[in-house]
Amino acid sequence: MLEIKELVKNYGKFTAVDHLTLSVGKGAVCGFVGPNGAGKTTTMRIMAGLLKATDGSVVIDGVEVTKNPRALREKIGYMPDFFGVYDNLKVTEYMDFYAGAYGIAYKERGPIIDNLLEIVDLSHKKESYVDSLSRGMKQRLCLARSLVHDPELLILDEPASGLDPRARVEIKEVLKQLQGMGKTIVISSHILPELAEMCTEICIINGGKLAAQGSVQEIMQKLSQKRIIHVQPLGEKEKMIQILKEQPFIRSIIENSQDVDFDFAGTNEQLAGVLKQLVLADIPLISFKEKEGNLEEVFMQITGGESV
Amino acid sequence: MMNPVLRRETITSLRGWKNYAVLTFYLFMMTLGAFIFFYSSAYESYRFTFDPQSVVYLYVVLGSIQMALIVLSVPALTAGSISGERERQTLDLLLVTKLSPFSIVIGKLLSSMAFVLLLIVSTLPVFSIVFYFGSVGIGSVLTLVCFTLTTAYMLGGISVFFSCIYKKTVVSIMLVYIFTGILCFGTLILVVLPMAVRGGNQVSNTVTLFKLIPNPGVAFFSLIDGQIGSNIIKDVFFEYTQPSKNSFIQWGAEHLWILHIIFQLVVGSVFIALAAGSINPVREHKQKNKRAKTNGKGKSEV
Ligand SMILES: Nc1ncnc2c1ncn2[C@@H]1O[C@H](COP(=O)(O)OP(=O)(O)OP(=O)(O)O)[C@@H](O)[C@H]1O
Ligand SMILES: [Mg+2]
Repeated sequence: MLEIKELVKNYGKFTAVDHLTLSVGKGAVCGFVGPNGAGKTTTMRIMAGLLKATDGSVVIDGVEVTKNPRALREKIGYMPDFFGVYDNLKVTEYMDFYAGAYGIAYKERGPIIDNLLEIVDLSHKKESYVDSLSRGMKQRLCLARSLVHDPELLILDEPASGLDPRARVEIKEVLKQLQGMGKTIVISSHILPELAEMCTEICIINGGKLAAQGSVQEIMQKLSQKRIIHVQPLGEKEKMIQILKEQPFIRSIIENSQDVDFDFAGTNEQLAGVLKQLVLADIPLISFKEKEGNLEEVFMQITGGESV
Repeated sequence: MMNPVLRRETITSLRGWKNYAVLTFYLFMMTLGAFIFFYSSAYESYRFTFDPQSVVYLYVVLGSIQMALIVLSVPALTAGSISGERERQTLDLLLVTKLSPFSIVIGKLLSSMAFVLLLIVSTLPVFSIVFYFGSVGIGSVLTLVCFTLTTAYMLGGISVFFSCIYKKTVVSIMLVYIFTGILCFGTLILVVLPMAVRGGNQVSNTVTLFKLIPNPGVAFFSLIDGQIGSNIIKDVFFEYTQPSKNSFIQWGAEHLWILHIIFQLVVGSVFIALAAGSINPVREHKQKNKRAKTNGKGKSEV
């Protein structure tokens, strides 16, 4: 459905997107994750035909975006990270305006709009003015707006930003529903766990480059290549650290107030050897275990925040 | 199908207070103009009565006020059209739809043109005083309306263009006023200066004519001039035109306003096309890329 090849976007000397290559299959829900300034918005704007790439190509459904952006408008629903609404316009009129802008015949608009407002749970607000809606409602309205022409691919740039937990859940519900309808969704966020639940795959972007792509499981496995072992002694911490420092496969040791984390690069047998040495040295241990990689840490590690 | 942008603008502006305020001010100015005219012409006469012959001048006064108000209000109404969308962060939402940049620009322009038409129509009752005394025909008033509308078209096109380029609406408005000022006074200076220096009879009428075509002020008075049966424009600028010499110059000197309308339509259309090109995201960045590439080449050579 979506193929990005060697995409480059320069702003003057600054490279916002740096040879990004990725592909998203039909019906997939792909999460773009990355810290602020990673290039998520830039990539999405290029996909939506709002920005011209410096180099590389974006192919959607077999059509090159840069060659024929207007032909793709029917296929893409885009929701920007920041957007505004018009004053003095009611919810139905707002939807009607965009339906008209997508060339939908006047007669067909009514049912489409009713249906979409139903999906985003705004049916009770039909006659309200759009500028009087709450942030969460506006966000859902904008989502409905991006669906008005029944696009196959949805590009959603941080649809849940600035919302309270409840509104986030509501947006997520809507997205699940859309996924059920067979839409391909590309969604960005800088919060990985939030995306993990609903995405079939995750692309971690950092500094304009693709740092990792794969299913949530695959990303988790990436972390376990780098094992963090947590040890908690009952006293004699200094002596233990001394022993650990002598071990060949320990790359770094982080000393916390009660316990110690170390980064272990050896095999399981070698790890067992470390534990044996500590026990033989009479260090009273109450805990020795591998830290479970959680998504936050994967994110921090992959995006270069080494100090966990 | 009606242009969706025009449709939405119509709905929202009917609900806002701004257009009503402009309309009220506009009518107030026109009525005030008529009142001052009656009062002063009656005051001047012996018995505090009113001479129906002078109603022709009321037509001139009303037409001039109308023209001035349109020239002032069109930039104010239009110069925020695209920059406002940008500011409100709704422009991207428009650009991702199937609307072409051209229809977005046209929709914006038509919505302010529609309002200008409303302003003009609303002042027709004031103009009806002129009909009542029978000194100027309805045909003349309609021609004046057409002229006002093409002026609004040109200024609207320029305003939309500046609105696409500049983020601040105020900057766009000022630029359109400056542009209009140059058209009115710049061309006038270009015409008058050689006449003053070399003497009127030394200046080519052809050159004068072409210098005057872009001038909306002179064109407006050439229209009024013909309608009230005077020959002021021709006498001032084309003193030495011989009927036999060049029939086009002869005709042009009397119908400067027709040439100016053509000028307005061309200039307005050019600016609309430029405006549409400048908000087209793909086209805009093509140019930027070219520049970036040539910059790159320059650097590698150094
Ligand atoms: N118009 C622009 N001119 C210059 N630099 C820009 C422009 N737009 C974006 N950038 C730069 O490109 C980089 C990527 O920006 P982008 O908005 O794509 O990041 P993002 O991943 O969406 O971040 P966030 O999570 O904050 O939304 C940033 O460093 C930003 O400063
Ligand atoms: Mg962003």
